[in-house]
Amino acid sequence: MSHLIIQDLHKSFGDLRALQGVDMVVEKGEFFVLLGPSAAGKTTTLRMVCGIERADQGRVVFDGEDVTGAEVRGRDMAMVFQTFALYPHMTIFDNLAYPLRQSGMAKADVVQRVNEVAEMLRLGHTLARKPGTASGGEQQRVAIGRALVRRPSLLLLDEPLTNLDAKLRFDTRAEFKRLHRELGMTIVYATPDELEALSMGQRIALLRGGRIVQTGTPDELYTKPQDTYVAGMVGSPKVNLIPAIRRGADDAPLVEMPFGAVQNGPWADALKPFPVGSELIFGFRPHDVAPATDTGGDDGDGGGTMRIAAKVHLIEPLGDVVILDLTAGETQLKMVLPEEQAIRYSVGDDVPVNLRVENSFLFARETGTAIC
Amino acid sequence: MKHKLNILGALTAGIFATGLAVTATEVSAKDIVINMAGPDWGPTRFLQEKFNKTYKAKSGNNVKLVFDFIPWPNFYDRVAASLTSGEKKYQMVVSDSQWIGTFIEGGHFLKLNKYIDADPTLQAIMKDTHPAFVEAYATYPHKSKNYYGFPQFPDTKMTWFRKDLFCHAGEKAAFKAKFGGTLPCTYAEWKDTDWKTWASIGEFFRRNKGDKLGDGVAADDFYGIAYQAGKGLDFSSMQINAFIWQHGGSIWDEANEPKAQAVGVVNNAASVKGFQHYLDLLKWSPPVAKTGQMDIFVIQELIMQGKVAAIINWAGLAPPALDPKNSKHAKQIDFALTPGLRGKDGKISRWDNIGGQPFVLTTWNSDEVTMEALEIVKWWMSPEVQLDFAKNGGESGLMSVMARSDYNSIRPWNRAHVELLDWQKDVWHVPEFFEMLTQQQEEFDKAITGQKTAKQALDAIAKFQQDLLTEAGRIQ
Amino acid sequence: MNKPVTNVASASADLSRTPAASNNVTDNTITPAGGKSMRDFWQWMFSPERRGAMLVAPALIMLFLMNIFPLMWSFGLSFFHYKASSIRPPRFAGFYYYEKVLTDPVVWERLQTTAQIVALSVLLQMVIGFAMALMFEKKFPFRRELLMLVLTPMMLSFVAVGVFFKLFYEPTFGILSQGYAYFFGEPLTLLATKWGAIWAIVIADAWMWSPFVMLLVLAGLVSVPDYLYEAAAVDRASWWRRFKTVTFPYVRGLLLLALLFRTIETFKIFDVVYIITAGGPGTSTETIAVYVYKVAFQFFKTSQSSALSYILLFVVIVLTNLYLYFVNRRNEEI
Repeated sequence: MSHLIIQDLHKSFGDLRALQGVDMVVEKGEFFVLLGPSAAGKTTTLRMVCGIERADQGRVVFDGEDVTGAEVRGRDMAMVFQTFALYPHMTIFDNLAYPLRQSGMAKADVVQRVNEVAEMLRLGHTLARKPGTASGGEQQRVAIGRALVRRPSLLLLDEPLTNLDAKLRFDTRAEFKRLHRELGMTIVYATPDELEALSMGQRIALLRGGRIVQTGTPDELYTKPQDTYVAGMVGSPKVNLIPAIRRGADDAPLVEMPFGAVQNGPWADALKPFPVGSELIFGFRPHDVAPATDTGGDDGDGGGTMRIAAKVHLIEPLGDVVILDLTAGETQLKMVLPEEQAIRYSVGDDVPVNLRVENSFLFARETGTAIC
Repeated sequence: MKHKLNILGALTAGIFATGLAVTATEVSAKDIVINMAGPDWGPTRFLQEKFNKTYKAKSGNNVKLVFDFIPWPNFYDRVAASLTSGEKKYQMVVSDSQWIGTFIEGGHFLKLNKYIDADPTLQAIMKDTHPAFVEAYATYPHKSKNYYGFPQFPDTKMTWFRKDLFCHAGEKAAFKAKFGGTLPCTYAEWKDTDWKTWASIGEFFRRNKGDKLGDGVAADDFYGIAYQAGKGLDFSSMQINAFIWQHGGSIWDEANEPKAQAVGVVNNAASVKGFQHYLDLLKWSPPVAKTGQMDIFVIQELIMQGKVAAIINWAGLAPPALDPKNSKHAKQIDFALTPGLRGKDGKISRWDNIGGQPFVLTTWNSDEVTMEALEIVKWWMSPEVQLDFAKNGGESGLMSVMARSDYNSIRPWNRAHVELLDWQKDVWHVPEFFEMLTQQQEEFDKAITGQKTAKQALDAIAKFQQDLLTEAGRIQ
Repeated sequence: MNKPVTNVASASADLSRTPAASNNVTDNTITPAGGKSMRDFWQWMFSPERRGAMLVAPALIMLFLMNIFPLMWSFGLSFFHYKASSIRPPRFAGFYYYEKVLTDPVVWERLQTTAQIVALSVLLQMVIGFAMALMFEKKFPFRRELLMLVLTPMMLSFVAVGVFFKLFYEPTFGILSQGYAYFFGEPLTLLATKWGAIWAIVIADAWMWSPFVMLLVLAGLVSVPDYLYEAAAVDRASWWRRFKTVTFPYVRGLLLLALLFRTIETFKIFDVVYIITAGGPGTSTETIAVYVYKVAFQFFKTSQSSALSYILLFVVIVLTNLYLYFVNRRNEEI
């Protein structure tokens, strides 16, 4: 049985149409990520799941029960807010104990449970302090601890890492995965950061303008983006998107780009019905570009690669990897190389590269939808 | 010896006056402004108007009288503040009679004996002024021969009643059937009314909303009688003193200083009996009596609004009651003698506390100003002005004016006023009066609101006065 | 080239500081004799290092004349035998009047009356003010209009409020009594008993000042972030618990300020009492402020009233310091 089902959820705030028909299904024990830029509807969706916000239209089914109109208190969920929303006038201990005290739990049990959570989140030393005196990371852990302490079956996390610095984010990502594994609860996690989404989410729903664009595993999103938007959102550095035109015969389509043409991609069959001259977008990951070696493939008509004559335009070192901005004629594209390979190149160098065609995408230029 | 002194005084004053006259003619007309403090009401407004219209200084100076009209509730505070601050703003003051001791001992009010002695007109005025007014308004120490003031507005209390009810044949018959006596209507019938009848009136006219009343029905709860029982200023003492005196009790007698005592006098059995009598009659009054706020303005309003059949109140407050603009019963209200206590001999004792205000001169003026101020006094006390004043709502202080055959008919309360003058006494004039009065009003108020008995209240008053006056050296 | 100096303010700092330069400038201006020294004086007075002091001087002088001097003067008088109504010069009395005031049972009685009124009135203001603030925190139709109406009593003069309520309480004509009579058959004489009169005052005072408490509390309520309420909802807090743990901590500081401020103010209550009951019945509602007024301006016991006033001032100073302490503490909290 699915743990959480959302059907056709609509919500408007005045003129702003925050959600325009969101559908999703979260399985029990799943780590589900809502990915999207700000104002895509992630927070609104979470708030409606936990009941802080009422839906204009649609249903929320939780544990097989329609909770669309139910009180917040009636739902066995907890939520971690982006702002953490810690009670500033209480100690961290009291913050953690807050959800338990309401349920009339015995004092000793409360203390035990809080201590367990505090230990798990390494908050033991902070319990007597007020949240205002704790560090950002500690505050965030208190917020999570407060959500976990009641052992809800569903945990909602609203951009919990946004207010942390980069290092802390990195550490906490691992923490979340560990918690999820240890506690086995269902987690719905909202974030604008695809790295977080890809690294943690078992499944990801990609939101845009109040609608879900694509739902799938990180791998599915990465390898089979349904449109240019998904392709652009998922993967770093960003996907290369090159304007292209359909050429070639009806049954042997050819994709022509400014720096050359390519055929036999995974999209080849799907492209056949498109008339010659259709405007397309050709996409490929920077990871799928590599400097050409003599042992590489041919000029793109036969096997898995396409050769492009390019020039180094810009070098962005990122530590262990380096992004090379290349120009091929008028067109710009990106390539990622391990640091030890990139060291050979400097700006202005001519660099012939091979593109791995089997991993490339093709989209209709007008609608942005994938052709495959 | 005294005679000689008087002649000497007259001589000096005469020489002085001649000198003044000479200067006046030589220097020709001077601008002189007399600022006068007074309460804001009819009698002072009339004085200002009459002055503006008719007054011409004999000296030829250009004399202007500028009144500072002060609302009654602030009157004492404002006058006291001005006098004690030393700003020397006022040349003349309309003073309440009780205050004069305070401001005489404070050095603010001018002793007038030498001027009176020097001026036959003033002497004549003093002689013609009713002795009750001289005593209450002019003398300090009380009943001494030191003169300070002249009556500006001499006031007495009288009964205000509703003719339409008291002279109603049906009501009269009903009253007779119930109480056996006469429901007073005519002047003579009221003259024969004692407190017992007054109480019966209170009981008789207690009607609930919708009950028959006179020719109609009571629009609201209706009450028979009311007299002042307010905590502010002297708004109960003035009536309580009447009861105390009529029952043979006393207040502290300042004329017998320093022998006069307070304890044993103020709270003697007769005083307690008098006060108790006053308290007993309050039960027939409107419920505001229970709050200790039924002051002279409240009872005035009660009769004007038609909530009560008869009240006892100052003549000075009567004109609005006859004005249809203020009063719902302007046509029906009439005036009569106050009730009194009937003695064993059947005679009615009507001792009462005098009201009204003298006007006085202040001490800081030049002789020229003082003389002009006295000229205003003479003008005001002249029979024509006094008569005109009486016609316009005032009362004359002059016996000759009051003796005129037409005086009683000028205003509906004049006859009662004149007849009651012989029954008037006053409270103390010593500077301690305000503390005595305030404490007394508080204690009376406690008795009126049922917190204390009459005896307890008077005991507390007597003790307080004894201590205060002993400390002040007035009791030995 | 020398420009004539026509404006004091335009004279540069350098010129006004060095007499030589200043002479140099003024020599070329066409002014009658004597104007020069006058202008020098102005320049000296308004030179930059003195300008600030000069600008605040008038206010300071006024403050001294109107406040500080009379304060010191009356303080001095409290150590002398002196009656404002008397021409007798003051005689030294030492602490006589302080001793007299502090051992006077009447003073203690008046203080007790005042305390009763303060306690009831401030409590009522707190409760009503808080309740109104909770109401106005929500959005509802005509909220703004209603809020303005509710705030009006605060802006009325004491005297007007006193007169209104006196008329309301009037047993024969008053609306309160008429309403009471409609239900219970007999008129209501609220002012006839001690506690009736005290409540009459308390109601008038609370009517006037509850909006003030409301404003302060409302400021606190508005400062509570919405997400805390949401968090509390998710944490399944009951209404009462949410109020106690989320709302109240934000309001507590302001409420304390309101409490102290209203206590100080109500401690000095005069006008409303003076008009509604004049201290009656008897002396049941005579507050300490009314008593001071009576002693000072009706009995003219100047020394005694000064001594009493200074003792009261001391009480108020203590309360004020408490108030300031909490203001500062709140500032630190935020």
